[in-house]
Amino acid sequence: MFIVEVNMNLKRCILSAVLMLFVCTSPSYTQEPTPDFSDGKKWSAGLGFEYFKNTISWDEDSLISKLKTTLLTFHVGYEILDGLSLGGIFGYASSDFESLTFRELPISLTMDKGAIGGLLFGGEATFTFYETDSFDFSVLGQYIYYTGGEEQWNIPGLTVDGTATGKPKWSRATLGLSFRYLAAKPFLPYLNIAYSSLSGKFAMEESIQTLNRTEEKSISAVGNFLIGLGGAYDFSDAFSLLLEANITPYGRGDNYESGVDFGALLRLMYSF
Amino acid sequence: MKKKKLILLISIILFLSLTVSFNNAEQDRGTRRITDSIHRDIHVVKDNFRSRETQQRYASHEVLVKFKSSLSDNEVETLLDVYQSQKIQRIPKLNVYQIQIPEHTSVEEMVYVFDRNPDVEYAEPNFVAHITATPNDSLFSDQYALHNTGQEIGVPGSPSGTARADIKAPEGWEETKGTEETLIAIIDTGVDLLHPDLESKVVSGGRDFVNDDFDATDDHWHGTHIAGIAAAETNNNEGIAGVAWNCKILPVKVLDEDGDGYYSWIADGIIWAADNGADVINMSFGGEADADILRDALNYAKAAGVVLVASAGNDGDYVLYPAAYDEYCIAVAATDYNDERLDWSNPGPEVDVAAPGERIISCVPTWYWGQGSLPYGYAGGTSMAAPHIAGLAALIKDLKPWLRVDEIMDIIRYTAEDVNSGTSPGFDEFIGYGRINMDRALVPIKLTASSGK
Repeated sequence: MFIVEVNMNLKRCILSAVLMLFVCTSPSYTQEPTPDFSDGKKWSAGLGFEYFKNTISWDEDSLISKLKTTLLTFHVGYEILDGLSLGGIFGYASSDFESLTFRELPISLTMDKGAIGGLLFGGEATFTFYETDSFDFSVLGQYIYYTGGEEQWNIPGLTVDGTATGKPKWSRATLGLSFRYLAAKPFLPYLNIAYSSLSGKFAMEESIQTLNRTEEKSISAVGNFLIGLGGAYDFSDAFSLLLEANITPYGRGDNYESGVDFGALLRLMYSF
Repeated sequence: MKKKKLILLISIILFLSLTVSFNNAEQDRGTRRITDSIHRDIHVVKDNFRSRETQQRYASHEVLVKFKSSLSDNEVETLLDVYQSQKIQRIPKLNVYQIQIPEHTSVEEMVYVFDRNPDVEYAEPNFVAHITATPNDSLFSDQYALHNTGQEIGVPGSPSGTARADIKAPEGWEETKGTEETLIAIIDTGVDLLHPDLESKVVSGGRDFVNDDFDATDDHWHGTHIAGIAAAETNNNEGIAGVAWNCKILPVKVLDEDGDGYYSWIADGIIWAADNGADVINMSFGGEADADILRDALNYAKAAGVVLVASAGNDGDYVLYPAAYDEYCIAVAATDYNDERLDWSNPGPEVDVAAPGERIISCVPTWYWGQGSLPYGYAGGTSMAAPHIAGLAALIKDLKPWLRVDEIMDIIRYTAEDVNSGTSPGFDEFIGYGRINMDRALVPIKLTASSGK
């Protein structure tokens, strides 16, 4: 029995490793504050690209759909104390609320495909509280807020002209721990474990001649436990490149099965 | 140094293993719940038409993968071993493998992983197709108005219709079939209370203003026919299907055995229906005179939140009352099995929409044909068109009880199909905004990137 159990776990380990390898070599994904890698320099600035696909619930958790988001970000950070860095994030995000459905409007509408661009801003903090020659542990925190632009659609198939106007917004707060391996410099692999909460609203206004109503739908990610695996490569004293892939498992709900969401990010940082 | 790296690697693998085990346990619990629910569903026969929201979308532990043709069978087997997956079957002509995925992974995860493999052309979930909500009523295939397949309209040798020249009832039923809470008042010659397709749908004996009693039994045939179109018992293995599958009928008799009725009886009937819980009132009759008593009764019912539907008339002249009261009623014209307007359907600016009204099969009183004949028959007229709209109004009201009467009327108008756009594009006095479309009125309309401004 014990042997069978060990064998099963080994298989799971191999499968997990294979999956992570595939994920790491794929072009994009997710969401996670990055470890501090300013290496003694006070300021840092950089550009980032992030993609995540989160399973979101709505209508009081009875229905789910996918929120696919791409972020282009500019980061600026400052180390205010030894081991403690604070930073700001600004940028652009494009969110696709595929399958989000509005059934309280006079004529029901559902989002098929179509990303909505908007502004993004937020902040992040990193505090390294334990460090040896080989590894360090840090606490990471990040908050970002996305406010989408107003997107307008012609409602197809009606006998009169009608428009739908959507305006989304969401925010994401992440807090977690990072374990970084330092003995393989200039490559610094790390593992992040974090609690991540994404929630927001989507207001859809329908306007068809005399029919005018707005429905606001609250959304929230069903998965909150995020595991990220990544690495930073210091290819000079000033420049670092960071690549991370992460997963967010979620449990079964009343109307959906359990599953895993994916994400990835890429950052190029300059320290000075 | 090597030792440290080894410790790090083991830590990562152990951590991932734990998280995967956690996920696996969650899935096991999920599988048990699904199995339990399947066993329960087996005994609930009428639940086989579930709403679109609750239907299972794909097999929970399978994916379909098409490998590149350059891969040999052995190479495919090796690849599946790497993914700890097992072949269930191969569809040879498509070279698609139906694959059982490892228990501790999700379908989405494995589709993602397979899709990234350069030897794979595509990978996707094994989606589930569901029967559409086609009722099992024996005469449903004769109801071209609800679902037109191009069938013969009537007895063998009758003309055939044009496929999809119908109100798209099965598509609409995918979204809702209504509930018993919603009541359609049939203000007419009465309803056969013992008809096998209506007996369980009428909420009471109703009210008879012709004979001033509480037994609205039909002594003509017209009211029974109208009631059947709007809300006959559906999916009961016999007879016809009603537009408002699950909604109930409130019979009100205001027309006598010849099909005539005084405005006073009609006004009484409208007010009584509104006071007795009607959500929708169908009036498949008309008079030539404009009268305050009728207008006031309609005003009373509309203020009480009742949707009023009336037929335009069948003499090809002008819209009759109460349909001509534009502010209160949805005035209904008639089309045929080819989506063409019928010459005798009264035109006018008051016409809002149309529905099939030619050779419509529905219930007739059990005594009508005599013993040995089925109590169903064909009839035509805007009278038969109107209850299609009444049924749709009931389904909308049931689905969205927060909407105002005017909003429900506008939904029916704006979601219609402009079937005579070739000769009279846009709103016209023949069929108004067009023939109603239950799919558009009930099922969410997709907003695509291309419909963006």
